[in-house]
Amino acid sequence: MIFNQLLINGIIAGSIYALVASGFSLIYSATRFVHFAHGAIAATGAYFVYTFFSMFGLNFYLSSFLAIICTALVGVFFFAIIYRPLQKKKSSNAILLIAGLGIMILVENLLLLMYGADVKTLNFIEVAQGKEIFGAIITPLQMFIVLISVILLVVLQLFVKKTKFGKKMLAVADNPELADITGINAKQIQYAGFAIGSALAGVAGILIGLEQNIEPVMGTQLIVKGFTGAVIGGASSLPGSILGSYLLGLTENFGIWWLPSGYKDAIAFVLLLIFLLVRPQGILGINKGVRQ
Amino acid sequence: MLEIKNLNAGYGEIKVIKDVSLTLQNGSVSVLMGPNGAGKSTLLKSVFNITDIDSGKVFFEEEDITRLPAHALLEKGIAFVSQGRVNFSTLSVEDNLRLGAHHVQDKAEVDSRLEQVYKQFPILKDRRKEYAFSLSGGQQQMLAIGRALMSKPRLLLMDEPSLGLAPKLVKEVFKKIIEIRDNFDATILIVEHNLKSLMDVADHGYILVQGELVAQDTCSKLKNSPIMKKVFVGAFD
Repeated sequence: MIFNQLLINGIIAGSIYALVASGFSLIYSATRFVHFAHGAIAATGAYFVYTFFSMFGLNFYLSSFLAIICTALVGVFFFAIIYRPLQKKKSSNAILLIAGLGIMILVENLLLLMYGADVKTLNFIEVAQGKEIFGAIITPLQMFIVLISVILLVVLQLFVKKTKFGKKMLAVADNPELADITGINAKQIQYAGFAIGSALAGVAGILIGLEQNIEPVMGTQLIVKGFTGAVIGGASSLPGSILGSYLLGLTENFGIWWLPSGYKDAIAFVLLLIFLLVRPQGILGINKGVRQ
Repeated sequence: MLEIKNLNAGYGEIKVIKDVSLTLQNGSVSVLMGPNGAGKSTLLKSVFNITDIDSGKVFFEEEDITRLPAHALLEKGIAFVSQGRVNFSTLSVEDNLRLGAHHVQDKAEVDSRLEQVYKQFPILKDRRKEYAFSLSGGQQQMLAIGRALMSKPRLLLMDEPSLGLAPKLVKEVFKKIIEIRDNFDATILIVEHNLKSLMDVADHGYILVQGELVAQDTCSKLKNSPIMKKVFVGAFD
């Protein structure tokens, strides 16, 4: 059943994109700028787990835990030393975007310098015989990826919607000036946004490391997909970014029913362009009517 | 309860407020008037420390609050309602109100304040689940005021609450403001353009021209004074 197989492949891809996109969207909400180095931060997550697990020989779960913490710290570090000073100087969003590209190139090259250009693999879960579900084949690892991703996305959503801290985050995203007047500490919210968003990127990096190869430029691919997922779903809406990411994963995978698989990225870009032209606020983005 | 002493403030290089001193009485509604560009909003914002203060001091109940950040002012009991009915537009009415008391840990206290605000503005209770942006102009203004009330302010600063509202609504908002003074036991300082209706209900008036305070008196005395006539006919503009 090729349909079911493509569906499952789409969901697996979407799960990873959703982790990247939701972190990206969280950071965008809290700071109102496009953190283009987000994919590169995810790549550091993969390299951290490679370092702890494959090089130092630590337990895999401990390695993952440490890697997620380290990735969050890397995100916060770049926010503190690059973005925040630029924000204080009231730099435009274009400058912050360029700064993000700069960080991305810097991180990729640092990874290249430290680990070399050859691809790394984690070999934690042996490539096992896939199980057949409704005629489609899915490996235990792939099930693990989807499960972890869905759990995290649900927890994140509950955190933002139900907790006071989450509400403050939404408030800063909605109107930073008003949040300031209301006495909400926007700086604290932005740091938290970077920490949580980067931690999610770390998880995405680890999951990809398990399933595919680890290489220095893997982040570029990730941010393109995460960004696309976030934009088509509605960049400032967390459920939107998640929905958009799954939609992207499915579209890419169903696209190769008709097109050679090399066109996957092209499909993503076409989808992005269509949404930017037709519905720039994304699927779940709110189009506020003006009422006087 | 609020005392401004020889305040000079503005935005960076631009000096707007020049040596202004004034004292607000406890439990009064005061209105800050003057022509466009006189610095009314800037003076109000300076109390809330969101301008650049060059010199001078602001005291709240004898305590120096000149350089305190917004969250500290909120805890001291000062709230600010900014110009233009600003709300967290993509959040619900109730979330907007609750955010006004985000610094209060006691949940029962927050709930009781919420009920108090709903009692003051029943329409907000009816629409509590709706997005703030879907409210009408008057309702949005009430939401903005309601959110400020959630912090139980003893001093409420309001920047042109009547801006962009229909005349009938303006009267209603002013009526609410007087009710707030009485029900919430708050001292209120308002920057207003819509003078006639407000002068009838407010206690004190201050007239600011080109960053300087040129007159201050009770509203009943100010109303018929020559300087007030000048403000009305736009002689200072």
